[in-house]
Amino acid sequence: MEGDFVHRLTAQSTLAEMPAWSEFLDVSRSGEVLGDLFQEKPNLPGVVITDHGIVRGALSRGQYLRLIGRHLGMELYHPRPLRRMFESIARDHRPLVVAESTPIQEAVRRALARPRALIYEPLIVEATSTEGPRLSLVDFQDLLLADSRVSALRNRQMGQILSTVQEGFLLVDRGHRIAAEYSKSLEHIFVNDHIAGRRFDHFLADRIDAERAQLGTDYLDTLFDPNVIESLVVQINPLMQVRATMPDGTERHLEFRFRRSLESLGGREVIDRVLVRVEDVTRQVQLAAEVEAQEKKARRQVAIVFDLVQADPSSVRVLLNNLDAFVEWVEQLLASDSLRRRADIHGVFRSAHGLKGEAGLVGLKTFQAQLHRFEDRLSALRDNPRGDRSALRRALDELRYLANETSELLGTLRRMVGDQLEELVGDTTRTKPAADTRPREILRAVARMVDEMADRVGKPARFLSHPLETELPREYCEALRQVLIQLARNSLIHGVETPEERLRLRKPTVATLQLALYVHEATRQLEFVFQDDGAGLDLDAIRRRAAERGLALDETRPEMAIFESGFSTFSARAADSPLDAGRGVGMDLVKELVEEHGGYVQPHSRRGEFCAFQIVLPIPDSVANAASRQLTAASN
Amino acid sequence: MKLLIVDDSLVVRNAIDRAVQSGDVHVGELTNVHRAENGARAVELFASERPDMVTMDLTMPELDGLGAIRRIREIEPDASILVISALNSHKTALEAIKNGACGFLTKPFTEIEVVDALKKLASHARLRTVARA
Repeated sequence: MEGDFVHRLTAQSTLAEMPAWSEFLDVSRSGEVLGDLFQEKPNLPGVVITDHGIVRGALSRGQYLRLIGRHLGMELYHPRPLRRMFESIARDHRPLVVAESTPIQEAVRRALARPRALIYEPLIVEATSTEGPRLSLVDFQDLLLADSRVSALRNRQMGQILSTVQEGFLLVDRGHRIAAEYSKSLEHIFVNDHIAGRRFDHFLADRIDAERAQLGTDYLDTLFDPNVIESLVVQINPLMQVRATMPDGTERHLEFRFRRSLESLGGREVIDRVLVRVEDVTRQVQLAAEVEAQEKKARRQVAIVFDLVQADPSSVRVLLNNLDAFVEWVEQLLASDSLRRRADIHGVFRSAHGLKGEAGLVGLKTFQAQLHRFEDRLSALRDNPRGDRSALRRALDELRYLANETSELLGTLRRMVGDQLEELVGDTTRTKPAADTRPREILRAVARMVDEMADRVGKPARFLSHPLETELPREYCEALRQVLIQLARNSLIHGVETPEERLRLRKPTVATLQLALYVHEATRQLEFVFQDDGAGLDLDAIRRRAAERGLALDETRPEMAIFESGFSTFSARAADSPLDAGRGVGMDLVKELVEEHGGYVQPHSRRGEFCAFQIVLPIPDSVANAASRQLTAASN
Repeated sequence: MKLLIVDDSLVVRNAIDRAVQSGDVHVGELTNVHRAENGARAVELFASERPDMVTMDLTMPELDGLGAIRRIREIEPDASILVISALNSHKTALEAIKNGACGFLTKPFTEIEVVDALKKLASHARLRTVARA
C-alpha cells in the first residue's frame, strides 16, 4: 500500500530505505513512451534520462505534465524524441543528486534548499555498488512522509529520554525563560507540573532564600556573557548545593549545574541557551551527615574505650553513678523550674565543675570535655538566669547519652574480655596487670596511683603502709584494692587541702595517706585503718546536705551519712564549695564492698586534723591459721 | 604572550610563576612575566606593558582586585583576566566576573589547576587577538 514504507523507518533511516524508482529512458525515445509510462505507473515520480548509456539527468512527472499542458504541448512533444523535452527543462534544472547513505532529515534539508519552483521535483539517489554508481529516483512527497515519521520517532526518543532520566534537565534562555522541553523528573524535583515558560529566577526565588536565588540568577547571567570562560567559573557556582523549601513544605537539598548550549549562527557560535541540570541530593546530603555522625560517634567511642582501659574500673563506676545522680538532679531542678536564681545555677555549676575534676582524675577525657560544654551552657544561663534553657537541656541530654554509652561500652568490654577486664585495666598506671593478688602488689599499685593523682590535682601526697607479706583471698584483694583507691581518691579530692592552704595552717605541704593493718585473732577479724592528715569531715555540711537530700540522719553518728548512695553528690545550695571536705566520692561503693564481705566501715575524724576510715572484715575460714599468723607477724 | 601576575602575597606570586614556568602552558610563546603586589601597581604595569593575560587577586592593599579589573577594562575592554582568589563570598566572585574577569580560580590551588586555567585563558586571549585583527 502507498506510504507503507514509513512504518518500517527508524529515527536513523537513510534514503536507502525509501521507495526508489529506476526507470531509464534514452533521449532518442519518443515523448509518447514517457507519457505511456506515467499512465501505466501512476506513482512513478519521473525517469532517469540517458544518452547512449550516459546519465544526463531526470525528467519528472510534474515537468512532463507542465510541458504537455502547454498549448499544443502534446502535439509538439509526444511524437518527438525525449531530447527535445529534456533540453527545454534542463536549462534551469540541475537535479539534486544525493548519496543513498544520506539520513532522511538531511536529504529533506537539502531538497528544501532548492529553488522554490523545483522543490517538488524528485531526488536522484546515487548508490555505489560493485558495478559502479546506480541511480534511482525518490519522490519528494514520499520524502516528506518519511521525514515526518522520522521526526516523530526522534521526538518520541527525546521524550523517552526526558521522561526517563533521573536528573532534572531544563533549558533557560537569555531572558531566564524555561523552554518547553524539560525532563519529566523536574516536576517531581520541583514539586510543580507547570514549568515550561516560567521564569527560572522566579522559580528559584520561590524555593530558596532570596539572597542565594539572586546569586544564582547573577551566575546564570555571567554564562550568557561571551567574555566569560565557562569552565573557569564552575567553581563559583552559588547553586552547587542549596537547601530548598518546596511548595509542599518539604526541605530538600538541590544541586544545580549549568552548561552553555551553543547555536551556530552565520558561522559564529552564539550562546543560545543554558542547560541546567537539577538534582535532588537530599539523600546524599543526609547520608553524608549520617556518615559524619557515625564517624564522630566511632571516634568518640574509641576515645571512651581508650580512656576506659586506662582508667581504674571502680573509679569509672563511681563517676558514672555520680553522673547519673547529677543528671537526675539537674533534671529535677529543671522540671520544677527551680533553676531561676543565679545562686542556684552557680551551685549546679560548681557541682558540674567538681564532676569535671573527678572525670579528669579518673582519666575520662570525653566526660571532661562534655562537662566542660555543660559548664559553658550554665555560664551563659548564669549571666542570664531568665534565658532560654534548651541549650542546657541539650547539653544535659548529651551528658546522659555519654554516660549511657560509656556504661554500654564498659559492659561490652566486660563481655569481650570477661574477668580479665579488671586485670587488663587493673591499675591506673598500666605498667602492670593487677593479676598479682599479693597485698604487697596492691599496695604498690595504690602508692603509684596516689603519686599520679596527687600530681594531677596538684596536692603533693605520699602513701605509707605496713608491708603485707602474705596472701589474701582473691576476693579480698580486689575489694581491698577498690576500697583503697576510693579512699585515696576521696582524701585527695576532698580531704587534703591545697599546699597553700596547708602552708597557712602550718601543716607539712606534702600530705600523708597511710594504711595500717591489725589482725584480731580472738575475734578472727582483720582491721584496716586508712587515714589522711587533711581537713577532716565537716559535720555541719553533712547535716545540711542530708537535710537537702531528705536523708534520715542518725544524730549520734551523722558522719555515716556520707556512705549513703547519692549523698556525696549534689546540692542546690550554692554556699558550699563542691570540693569541700564534707563531700565524699564513691563512699557508697566502699561501704557496699565492705558489707559484701561481711564487714563494716566507720569514719573517725577531727576537723582540720585528720580523717580516718576503719574497716573491719572477718577472717574467712578459708584462710589458714598459718596465714593469719603471718598476718599477725607482719602487722607487728 | 605576556602575563601579569597580581597578588599581594609573594608566596602566591611565586607559586603562579613557578607553575607557568614549569608546567607546559602552551600560552603561545610566553615571553614575559610581570608581577604586581597591589591593584594600583597592576594598573600601572598593564598600561605600560600591555600583557595578554592577567591573573588577579581580589583582596589587596592600595587598590583591590575589583577596582583593578575595572581600571584595566577601561584601558583594554578585551583584557583576558583570571581571578585567582579565595572564595570568600559568591557575591564578590560574581562581582568580579560582572566587572570583566573571564574566570575565577579559587585558592588554594594546585599547580595543575593554574596551568589548566591559564591554558584556557591563553586561548581566550588568542581568540580576542584574532577577532581584533
